[in-house]
Amino acid sequence: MTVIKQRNIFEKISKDNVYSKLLEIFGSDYVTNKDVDLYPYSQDMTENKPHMPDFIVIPESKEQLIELVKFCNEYSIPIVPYTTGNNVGGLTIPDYGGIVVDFGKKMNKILHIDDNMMYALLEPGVTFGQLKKHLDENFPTLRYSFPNAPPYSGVVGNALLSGMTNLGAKIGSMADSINGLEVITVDGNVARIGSCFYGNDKAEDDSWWCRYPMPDLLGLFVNFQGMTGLVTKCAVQLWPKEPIEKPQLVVFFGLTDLGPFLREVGRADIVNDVAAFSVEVAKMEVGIPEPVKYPEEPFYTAVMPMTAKTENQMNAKLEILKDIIEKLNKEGTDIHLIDYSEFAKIFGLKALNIYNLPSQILSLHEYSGLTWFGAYAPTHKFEELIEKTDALYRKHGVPPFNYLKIMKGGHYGIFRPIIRFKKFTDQDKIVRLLEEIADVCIDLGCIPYKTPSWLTAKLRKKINPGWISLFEKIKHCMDPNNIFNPGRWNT
Amino acid sequence: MLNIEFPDDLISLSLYNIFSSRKDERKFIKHAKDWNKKIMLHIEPFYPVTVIFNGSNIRFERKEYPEPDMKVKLHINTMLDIANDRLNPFFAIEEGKMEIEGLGEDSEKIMRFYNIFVVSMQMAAQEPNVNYYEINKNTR
Repeated sequence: MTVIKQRNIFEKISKDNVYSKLLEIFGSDYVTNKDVDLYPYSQDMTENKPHMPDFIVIPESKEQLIELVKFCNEYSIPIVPYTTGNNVGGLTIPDYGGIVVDFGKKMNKILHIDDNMMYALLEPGVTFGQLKKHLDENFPTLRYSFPNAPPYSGVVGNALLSGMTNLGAKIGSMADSINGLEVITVDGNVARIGSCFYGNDKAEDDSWWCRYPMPDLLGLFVNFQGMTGLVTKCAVQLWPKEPIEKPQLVVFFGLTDLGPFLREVGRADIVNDVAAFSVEVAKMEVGIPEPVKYPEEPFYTAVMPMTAKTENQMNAKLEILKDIIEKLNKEGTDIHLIDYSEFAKIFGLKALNIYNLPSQILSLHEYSGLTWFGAYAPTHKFEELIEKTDALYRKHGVPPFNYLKIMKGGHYGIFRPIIRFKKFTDQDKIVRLLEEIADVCIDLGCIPYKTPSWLTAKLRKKINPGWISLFEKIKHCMDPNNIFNPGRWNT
Repeated sequence: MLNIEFPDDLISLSLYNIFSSRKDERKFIKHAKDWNKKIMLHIEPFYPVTVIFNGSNIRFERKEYPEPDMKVKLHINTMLDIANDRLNPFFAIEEGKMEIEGLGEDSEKIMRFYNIFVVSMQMAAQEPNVNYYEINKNTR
């Protein structure tokens, strides 16, 4: 395992000289080294240890960033990319200090929407709310897909980190929807990846339509957490907006009833997504401040966006869904289907937050801390994951906050224990719980995403040595001086 | 003015939301205030909840209260059919989709039940503004 060592990042050049260079590149209004400005970038909602950056810069052009990367590589100064700081993995905490590059303030333009080939070309700082508003106002027949993240979270970061989507049951991870990237590599070279790779200086806006069939260099930047280069443009796929919408709510009275349901509904290809929560999460969502499950209440609830081109198509999908539930209930489950839109009106409109994405799910942010073990999961282990984590929650006296999904036609699943907590009183307890959850889930084959470095340290003990060796060779090749977000994946 | 106790279980919370939207409405207050009855509502597949009307207070018990004044049992989907005007509540009783015990000869009881429960659900279901972000702007 690679050992993390603190390093003096100003060995080769004084901090004052770095500051002077940054002023020269970005101008005095867009560089800061003041503690009051640096502080918000030193931490996030998670349990991950804060660390102050030395500088924040706000870029507005690729040319500025090329100069920055060349300079930082020459003097081995860390660069940490940042869009909105909403990740739940400590991924933009500058563990070694250095320069945080805040893309969210000025490099946040929607550069092109291609109505014909259905993609959006974005700068890294574009948010989910911004993209949805732009599409609703200008391209009402198109949609992007959204995770359970606030509308001020970044689209590109989520895609590059294989984040979630409310089309997950159909399309899988958001990383699968990336058509192309423009990246600055450590030598200051600008590479365009995907069908936009023709041409010298510039690609046409209508050339970002596909990722294949050339060697897929995109993999050098997906899930690397900013460790291999700076992404300056990203094209993501859009989808047609279907006119008929009938979201459904499913309630599960058996603890593990959700497992077979997710597997069956995934392969039936009838829902856009399944967002299944422990009932404690559902209760939290509708305004119960300290939710506890009562014995009579269901263990899990699932919200399923369903859309169709016609009423007939919708009715056929609903018929299939009802058949699945009837079959499973005959086999012993206790599952019930309810029209979600109608239920939410009766139940309280706040319940619609989970469906009207992107939306701010206030209850998740009510406390000072929020953390998770978010993982891709083998679907045949769902029942075991639910039972074993349930026992751990109870052991630690914490309400179960699990979130499950089925992805890409049932090919894989998502298992996410997600926990809000009070940083100054509960953090130690929550960290102990999270560690135990991580151990159980990794043993059952889960693979965490948007992974903090304390968790990648655990993974490294389990991953085959050949993978670690190849990964480190690639990292070294792409970033020999370890300037790009050092510390991630324990590099 | 009515006081409605904030509950912490799913079904009571849905009733709380339905009643709260009308708690300052004169007609609702007229029916609910001083009713002094215990109404057990079992929305299947969920669990029974007893709604206790006591003077100006409404509270919820997450159980079947001993000797309630009225027992009502219906499936959640029947409730949504009634709320959305797809099913007349009296037909629902006739068809056995809504079971009511304890009506007796008390016509006021059925009238109050209808106004407090059924009308409130129908009003909630017809709420045209389904965008949570566009309501309660002042309190968020």
